[in-house]
Amino acid sequence: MEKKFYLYPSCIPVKGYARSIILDTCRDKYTLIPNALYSIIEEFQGCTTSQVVHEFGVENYSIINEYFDFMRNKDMLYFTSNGICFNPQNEVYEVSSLISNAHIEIGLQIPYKIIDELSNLNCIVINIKFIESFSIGYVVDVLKYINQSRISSVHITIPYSRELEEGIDSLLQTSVKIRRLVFINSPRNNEKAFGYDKRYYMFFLNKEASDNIQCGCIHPNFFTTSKGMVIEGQTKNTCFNKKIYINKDGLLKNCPYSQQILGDINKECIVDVVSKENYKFLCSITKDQVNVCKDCEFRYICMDCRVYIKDKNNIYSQPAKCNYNPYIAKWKGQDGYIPVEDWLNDNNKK
Amino acid sequence: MVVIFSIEHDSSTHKVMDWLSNLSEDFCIVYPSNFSHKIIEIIDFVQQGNRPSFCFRKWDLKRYKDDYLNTESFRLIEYLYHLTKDNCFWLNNPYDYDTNSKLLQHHYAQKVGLNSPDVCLVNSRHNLQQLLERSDKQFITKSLGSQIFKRDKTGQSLFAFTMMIEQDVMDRIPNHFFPSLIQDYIDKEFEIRTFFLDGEFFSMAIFSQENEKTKIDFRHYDNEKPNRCEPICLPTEIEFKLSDFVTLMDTNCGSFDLIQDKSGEIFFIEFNPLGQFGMVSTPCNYMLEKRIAEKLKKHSMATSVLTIDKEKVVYDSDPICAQFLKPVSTSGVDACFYSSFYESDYGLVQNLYKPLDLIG
Repeated sequence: MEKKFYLYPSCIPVKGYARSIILDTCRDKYTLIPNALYSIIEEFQGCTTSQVVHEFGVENYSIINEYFDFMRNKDMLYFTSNGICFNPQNEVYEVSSLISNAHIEIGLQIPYKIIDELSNLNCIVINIKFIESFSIGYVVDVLKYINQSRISSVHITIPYSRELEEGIDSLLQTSVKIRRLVFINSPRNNEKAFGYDKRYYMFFLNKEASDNIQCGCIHPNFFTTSKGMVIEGQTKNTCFNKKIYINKDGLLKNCPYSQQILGDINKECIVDVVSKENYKFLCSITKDQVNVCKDCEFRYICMDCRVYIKDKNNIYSQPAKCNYNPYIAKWKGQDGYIPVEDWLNDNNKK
Repeated sequence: MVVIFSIEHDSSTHKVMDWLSNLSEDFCIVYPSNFSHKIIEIIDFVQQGNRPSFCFRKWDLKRYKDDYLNTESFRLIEYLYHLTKDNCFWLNNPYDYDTNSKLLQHHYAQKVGLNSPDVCLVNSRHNLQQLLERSDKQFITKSLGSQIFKRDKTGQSLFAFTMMIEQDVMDRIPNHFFPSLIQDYIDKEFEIRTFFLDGEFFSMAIFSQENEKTKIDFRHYDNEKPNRCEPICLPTEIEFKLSDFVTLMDTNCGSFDLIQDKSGEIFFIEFNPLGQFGMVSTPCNYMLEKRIAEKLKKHSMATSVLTIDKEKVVYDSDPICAQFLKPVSTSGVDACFYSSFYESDYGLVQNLYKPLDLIG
């Protein structure tokens, strides 16, 4: 008996305007496919390959065969003669944290209250930016306090000083939670080193690199095909959901580059601020609602910046730093690339 | 109020705790290391009429160096269980710690009508040889239920895995050995892990790829092509039988290992009441940790809050009676002497009942 084919549920097909993609969330990879193959998967899953050939006619036999060989080689298909009942995936990705990532700017006062509150909200990662190159003793005091909390990992960004670089490694041995240490305004650039016991990375960035804001850039290097990202992206904005920024004065925002101040931590609790509608608004914008992005095959694996956008007056406009045109499936710099705006204008005229 | 018994480094427990805190439910975690500190207060708490829900997630009965302390601590947990089981919800119970007899599980599985690969017991090479010759099936062998673990001279850890009975095994085993479990080998289409949570089933199929690369070097395959773990639904009739099985095992939660063979038949392999569920929960996005926390919260009916000092005290002394040990007088005769004497005597008695011409 000829076997029926199924796409594994961890392989998620997503249709774009010009082409489609299969997101392999089990192996953190993606594969671009033609839209015709997307339709075959959608319509014929659970059928045999000869049924597909029958539908499209013998003249298309070699193309269909090629499609199936391609997917078989990528190990995305399950063939069985018994049939199988895959359980539809739970479409909501939930974490027990009310806030999962926090970006905090620290001045000369250790923000005990903020750390306590984040710990109670099951915050997983805390990213600390020291505004000056403080003494080692001060940095260690902050880390010691976080060590006693339930926050599981810490990233640090601090302006470079010789004293810090020479002394910090031995002092950080006491903190098991540190994962990344970035020296900004350092004399050296783009250097990477392991910290004590390979527990964390150290990065060195010079003045120019430190001032260059990477936030909001759209590039294949920043794509993530993990299950969490893809499922969360169906209902939430992956760049803002459960994430906060608090500056040194205790003002809370969605992200460091956002203009809108949502609350003051000296006067209210984090949990009260993030319960407000204006915090939740950005978190709730999905890629399916954003202009141009909703036609793009990469929409569920790409971070969506809602701060740097093309039209300041339209929150649903395309990310400003995106150089991809999904209507012709080309990146800027590739042969035949034209900007999205030009393409849309041309097409509207037609 | 939720009371969880667990070990310190169980990540699933931590996730359940995070969810309990997210659901604003008070909880108290009892580890072997804080057991002496907390258990008396918990017993007092329930005796005051509070009805917290309990979760016996994991325990370590080998924690204490002195084995009597392991038994003594279990006596306390056991007491708490019997004190509360009629009025409080227990997810798993202390007796789940020791239910991993594969023979017993095979027996129960057959009783409820599940397919389970045939088993037989052998203690000699002769019997095993006969078994192999009489059948064209392939066989595997594994432990009867314990984790067999040794260290070699260099300190390297060695484990007993499930293994095929092949010719080179036959060549290397002695004539007589400790009773060993022999089971039919099932040619699998895929493996299934099913987590049973108080009436609900969460199943995952594991598809190991039959790929030429993996046959030569499976490490390559582990990183480049991890097994696909996908959520599936079991046929309802299988779920009914598994549910009956859990009832026979006298528990309400646990993980099943099942196999679907090439013809689509599902076989029962093993049941672990205190098994890990993170490896089913995460790939299938089943949110089991959240479901467990919700279940525990739903059943908890404590009226007051259990407060235990956070002060860290090290309880390193024995119970009082064990601190005042006295020498014991013995007869001085080795007990083994009697038993071996008896055994040979018994042999003689048996001979008396045999027909004379057979003794020769």
